[in-house]
This record gives sequence, structure tokens and C-alpha cells, in this order.
Amino acid sequence: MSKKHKIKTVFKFFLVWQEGAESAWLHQQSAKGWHLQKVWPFVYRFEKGEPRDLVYRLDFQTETENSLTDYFQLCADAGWKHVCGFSSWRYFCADADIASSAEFFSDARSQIAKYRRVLGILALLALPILYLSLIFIPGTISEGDFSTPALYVAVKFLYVILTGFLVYSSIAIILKIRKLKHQDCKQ
Amino acid sequence: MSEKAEILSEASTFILLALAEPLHGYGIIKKVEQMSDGRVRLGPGTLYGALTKMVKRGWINPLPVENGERRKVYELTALGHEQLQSEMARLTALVSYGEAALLAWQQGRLS
Repeated sequence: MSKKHKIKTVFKFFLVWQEGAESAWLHQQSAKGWHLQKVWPFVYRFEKGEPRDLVYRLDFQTETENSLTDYFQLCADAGWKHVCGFSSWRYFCADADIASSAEFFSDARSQIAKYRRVLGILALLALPILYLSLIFIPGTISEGDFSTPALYVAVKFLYVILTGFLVYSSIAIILKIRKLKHQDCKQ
Repeated sequence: MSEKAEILSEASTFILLALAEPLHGYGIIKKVEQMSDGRVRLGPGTLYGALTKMVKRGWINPLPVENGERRKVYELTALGHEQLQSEMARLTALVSYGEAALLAWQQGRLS
């Protein structure tokens, strides 16, 4: 049977803490017959097939794909298929009836642990920023120390953007963890 | 109770209990479901997170994987056993306090 696969690539902006909206969107796409095939930061590739009622979940595991064989097998045994991933993010999907009887995360604690792993990686990102902070503390290094004024402006611009991004995401993730903790108390 | 003992989550307690015999991941899910009469159904994400944490802490140990086998089998270590024992001691104490308190409350109402 030679059937040409229809593919579409979509740019969509979701951030870590908007995972709920992201999986809802992927679910809608599957209902229209567009099934997630591959993912890059903010870019999604779908393959056309029969419409299906698929539920998507994301996990964050820092191990390499090769050392996750055992994990993917466990998920498959439990009805959750590993679809794709980028960096440490892993995308899984399951038929809605399987997902309703066996959620991917069965308690709030494990989701809190997941977001803590994300925070840990963000903390690593904070190191180069801390280094830049030393540069921009008034009185240490001035514009004249850079080869060109343009370089100074560029580094300063990068510094402001990165710091803003880091602070904003950390706060959003911490708020997400707090919400989950609240949920954990009610469980 | 050993100093290192911490209060375990329900999921972690059941995982350690299931490992009375070595099992692979999905085997643990099935065993826990059976032990709890279907009430506790561990999600694979939750189970994997707990397993990696427990391996790091030395409570459980993955057995060597044979060629081509995709499922890792885990066994309880002596440290894991100790952890489980202190959790049981904590729960037993909680139940006996609870029963005494309920009894006192009932007697108070009768008199």
C-alpha cells in the first residue's frame, strides 16, 4: 500500500508552566487526525491519520535517550507510548480510555519532583548570568574594557534578557509547585 | 527508628512493599494495584520518578540486565528494608494513638 504521508509543521509558543494548555492543544490536533510526530522548541510536526482521542503528557528526565529504554518500556507496558522529545522533555500519549483509568502521574508529589528537576536545570543556567552580574556591578568593568562599544551594549542586552527570562520562569515554576503542593494536601 | 528515616509517600510505601520479591516496573504497578484492591494505580511517570530516587538513595537496586531485555528488574536492599520497617513502626504508632483517642472519645460520650 503506497500512501503518501501528509505532514504539517506548526509554530506554537508554550512555556514550561503552560503544559496543561499544550497537552490540551495536542489532544485537539489528534481529534482532527493530526498526530504529533516530532517536536523542537516551539515547533511541532504532525502526521495526518485517522482522528483519535489521544491524551498527551510531558515528563522531564535529564538522562540520555539510550539510558531511558527501561523507562519507555515501562510506559509502553502501562499504555503510554513515547512519541518524541527534545532536550530533557519527553512527550507521551495514550488512548483516552487508558489515560482515564491510569494517569501518567498518579500523585501531585511526582509532578512537584518533575518541576524541581526543571528548576535545577534553570539554576545551572543562572551560573553564566551570575558571572555577567560581576561584570555589570557598577565600578568593576566599564564600557572601555570591551573592544567595541557595540559589544558592550550587546552583552548588556543579552544579560538583561537572560536575567528577565530566568527570574520570570523561576517564579512561574515556583508558583506551579505551590499549586501542586496545595493539591497534594487535599489528596 | 533510624535517624535517616523519613515519612514515605503512599506511592513509595507501596513500591517498597511490592518489592518483597524482585519485579520490573510494570510488575510493580500490577502488584500494587492488587495489594490495594485496585485503589492505588501508579502512573508510569510517578513510578519511574520514585524508582530513580530510591536507587539514588540505595533503597532498591536494579539487577543486571540480560542482553536484549528492555525491562529492568529491581530488588529491595537492606537499607530499603530498614526504611520500610521504620515506616511501618510510624504507622503502627499512629494507629494505636488513633484507636486510643477514638476510644476515649466514645467513653466520654457514654458517661
